[in-house]
Amino acid sequence: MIVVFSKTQEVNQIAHLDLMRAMQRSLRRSNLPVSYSNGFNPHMHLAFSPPLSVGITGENEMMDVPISNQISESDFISILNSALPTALLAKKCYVVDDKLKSLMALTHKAQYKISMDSLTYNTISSGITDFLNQKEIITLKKSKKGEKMVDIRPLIDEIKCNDNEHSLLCVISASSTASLHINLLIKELLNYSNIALNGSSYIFASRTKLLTVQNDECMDLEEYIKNYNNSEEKEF
Amino acid sequence: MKKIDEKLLNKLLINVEKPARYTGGELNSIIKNFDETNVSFVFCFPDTYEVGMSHLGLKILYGLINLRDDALCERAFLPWVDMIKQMRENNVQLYSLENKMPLCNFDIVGFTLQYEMSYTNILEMLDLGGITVLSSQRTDDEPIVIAGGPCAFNPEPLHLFIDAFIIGDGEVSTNDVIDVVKAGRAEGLSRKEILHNLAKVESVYVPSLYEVEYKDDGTIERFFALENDIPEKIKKRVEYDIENIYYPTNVIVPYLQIVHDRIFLEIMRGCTRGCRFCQAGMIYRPRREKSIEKLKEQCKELVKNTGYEEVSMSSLSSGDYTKINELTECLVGELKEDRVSVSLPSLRLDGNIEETLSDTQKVKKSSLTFAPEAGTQRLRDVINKGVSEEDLFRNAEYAFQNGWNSMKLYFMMGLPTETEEDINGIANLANEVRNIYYSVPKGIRNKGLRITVSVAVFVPKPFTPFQWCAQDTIETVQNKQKVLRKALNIRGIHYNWHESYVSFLESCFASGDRKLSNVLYSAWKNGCIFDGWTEFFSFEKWMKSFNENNVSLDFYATRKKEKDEILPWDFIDSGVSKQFLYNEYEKALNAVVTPDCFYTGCKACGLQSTKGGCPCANDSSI
Repeated sequence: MIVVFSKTQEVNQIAHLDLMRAMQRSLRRSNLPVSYSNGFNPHMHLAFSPPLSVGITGENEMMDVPISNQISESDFISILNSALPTALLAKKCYVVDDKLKSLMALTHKAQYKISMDSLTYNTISSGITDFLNQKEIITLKKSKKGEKMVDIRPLIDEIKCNDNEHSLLCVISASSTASLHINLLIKELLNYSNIALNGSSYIFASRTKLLTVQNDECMDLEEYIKNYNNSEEKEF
Repeated sequence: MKKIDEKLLNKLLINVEKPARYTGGELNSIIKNFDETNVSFVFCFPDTYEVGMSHLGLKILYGLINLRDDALCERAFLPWVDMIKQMRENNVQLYSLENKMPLCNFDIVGFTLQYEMSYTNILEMLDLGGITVLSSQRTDDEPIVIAGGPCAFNPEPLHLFIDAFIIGDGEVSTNDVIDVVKAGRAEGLSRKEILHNLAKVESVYVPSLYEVEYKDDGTIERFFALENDIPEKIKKRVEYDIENIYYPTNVIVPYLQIVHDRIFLEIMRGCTRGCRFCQAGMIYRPRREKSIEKLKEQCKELVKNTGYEEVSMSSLSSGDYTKINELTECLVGELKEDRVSVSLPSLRLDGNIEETLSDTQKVKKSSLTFAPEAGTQRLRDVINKGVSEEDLFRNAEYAFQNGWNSMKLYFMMGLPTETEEDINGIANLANEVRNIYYSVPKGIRNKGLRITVSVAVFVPKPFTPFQWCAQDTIETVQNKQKVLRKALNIRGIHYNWHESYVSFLESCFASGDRKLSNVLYSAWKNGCIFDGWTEFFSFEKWMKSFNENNVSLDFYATRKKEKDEILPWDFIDSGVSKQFLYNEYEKALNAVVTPDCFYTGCKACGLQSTKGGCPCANDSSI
């Protein structure tokens, strides 16, 4: 069962492992028919879409819950919500079979909304076209293995400005082979416009949608999964 | 009353490790409205979130106080050093997790005293929370600062900072304290008046209303009350009916991984074994058990409300629960469907562990812990830990034959009458256990033997028969540790030792009097914090603090106390008489054992005079 859920502001400081544990415990409390692995140490195997970093909220995150018995999608959602802490909300779910690729494999891009105070927004949005026109954007990427300079321009698909909400809507790469950390993009946006955050200025990000590329077409991952069950390509 | 601004908080959190320590919002946390309650209480655990959230006392009082309509209880922990820095730089006061309310805005601030090396953390939390650190300087609008827990049995080293100590079981006494503060605030009483009223509550000690005079040799001349309507001796509180008393079943489930991330089911309180080094065994008397029915009920509720995968049966010596096998069988059976495993943290070797173990480990296998405590039978008799080598070996053999390959053995060094032979005895026991493992055929025993030998430095504790003992000097300890390191340098055996300087300081505070309070204040001002963490403990800073106050460490730690000396904690009645303790001490010096009174009849430890009859008596045994 693929579950679409949101990780709200209340718990944006918890890490991915904490989130996984919280989901496992909620599923145990709910008594939903989750299937466990075999062997001496049976455990609940939950698969997630690419992890959300600490400090970032997610509106439409996904997890794959293996179930052992049939259950209607509406029952599953309402029972799960009554067991979840209020900061996590299960929005929708879809029954899928084993043939569907893993969420990690299906996620190629992600849409983020970056919200900020009006002053910061005005500065950044006025320079957006130039920012995107750069041939390359070299930045320092830190990872467990060390640091290296990388060009992140190819990982940015689009950035749209929303003057009413003082926010940017971005689509960036989020696959296992190539992914851009939203904080890195934010850092570069601030650097480009020479902004240093202080006093009442703020900037934070929320992942709004997960996207998949199928047959060269970029689409909403949730839509893809919804239609997967109805597609003719599926075999029984 | 201003809460901490969330936007500002989020900014600070970007720069710290594990920000989830500071945000709250966990499942089952209770957020009430300050304006709708009369008394606000904040439970402060003087260490990090991960350590404090494992504390059973917190869970009990949090649930219990929040049951009241007229009160609320929130939580606060000591932030890690990176967050403390952020908070001080940005003028953000230490706040409670639920409502993000600075500590100084609460009516009552309550600390739990679990171990002496957490004391500097208490001062830091007070200061960070905007509360005046020295009690005598606190104004009427500041919170009443209280403290309870095992170390409250020697409260004197904290007398300058804590307004009132609660001695003994906290379930009812904490509510009594809340009632007094509520009434006092409603009547507009001054701080002094409220404290005076608190001093009249049974088991509450208000240090500012008592005075100590010293002799020339530094020992106590006399200890007396400054008012005539408060008791000269403070009696500890006992909740006899633990079967029906409140027990938290809707506990908070943290997001972060905490130290003991499982359900704690308290099956018993108190212990009658009478091990002579053990303070808990004396101060938590009498022995009280909960029925299997009640435990089954509480366990089911806890699993339903939390979703945890493991239940720990917790008490001072779970193997001593009368029907432990039946209880284990019952719980394992109940929980199998839920895929919840059951574990026993402390096991006594001389019980029949085989049946117990195979049940608890039916769902999952974990490491086994045994505490022989001393390396030879003679020394074990001195400390009254009645287990034999035979018990250890028999149980080790059973464990290795049934799939366990990991074992933890706990010992102490520096025990009274200890000789070289006793130290070597530790290595001999560990080696013998190792040999037993290898004697089990390869096909049957599990691969990867890991025996962990943990040897702590003995710290004499108040209210034990060894409270008169001197601790080994640092030099002696380090020599003994060297000997053990050499003797235990064998494949399959891992030797854990404690930093001798920390144990030395622990001893000072455990046996300390009021003069230690000044040392503590200097130590905190000199930057001592997180003293229980090796990366922060600084013996140099502590030495400096002792010297600045002209207080000698050896006077407290390595000095043998006289029989008729007035000890700093004598004014507290723990239920066990000083005479009984001294008799036990003399028996110890002659290696004479006192068997468990629950099975062999009342030994008149002193409790019999409080309840008008021995409260632990097991009628079927005598």
